[in-house]
Amino acid sequence: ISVGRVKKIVKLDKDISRINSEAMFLISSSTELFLQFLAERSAQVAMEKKKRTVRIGDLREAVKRHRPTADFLLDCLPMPPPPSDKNTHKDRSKVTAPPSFYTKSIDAFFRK
Amino acid sequence: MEPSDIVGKTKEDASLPKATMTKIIKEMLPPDVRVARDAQDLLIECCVEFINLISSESNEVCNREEKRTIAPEHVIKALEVLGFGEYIEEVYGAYEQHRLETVDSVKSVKWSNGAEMTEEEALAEQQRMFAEARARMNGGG
Repeated sequence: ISVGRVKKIVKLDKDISRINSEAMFLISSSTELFLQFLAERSAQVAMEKKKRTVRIGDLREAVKRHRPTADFLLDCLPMPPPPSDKNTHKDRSKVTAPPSFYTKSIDAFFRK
Repeated sequence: MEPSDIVGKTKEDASLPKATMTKIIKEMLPPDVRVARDAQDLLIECCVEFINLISSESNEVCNREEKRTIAPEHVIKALEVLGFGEYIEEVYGAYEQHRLETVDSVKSVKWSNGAEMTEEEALAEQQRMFAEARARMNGGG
């Protein structure tokens, strides 16, 4: 991953004033590792489900399984798509269940 | 964390090169596995979030140490704090390689902000910190 691109993203944060170029390199390397990690884990999830195509749901599952990643990333992921024609054959449980586990727990929290 | 912290500001302005990212992703997968396009895009966005996270935390580490410039050791510390300590070894290896490639042309490396260390001292200091981080990681599990 090119350090230049990473630098542009880092610079967007106004709180960050100066950064050593070697530190930039480290961030860049870490990001590449992170991408590899997520890609590999997501593929594992897909293969567990006997699927050949990695989808957002697989990525979401992979994120959930790794605590440090889940802590910062879960909120950023798009919500699962609303029930559509695509979901009719296998994932019936997902279609009939309430929109998400998360809203349910939030509701429960407020009911207290 | 407010939703507004996450949404919008980086997406339009800067992102990572899609071709490079796609290549890296494919390298990690078996040959017969594909990635849906929206999942690919999402992976890239996740990386951008990761960059924001690491740089933000590195910045905090840097401020706590009352330094003005984020240095490699701040990034290492940030990785550890955030739970990505397992990356440190590999990242450090790549960094060392990179240093070896550049140090030939640059005799005196200005390593941290104003500190007057010789290159050997700086390297020894860094080795010590990495060893410490590794020990903490191994000890802490």
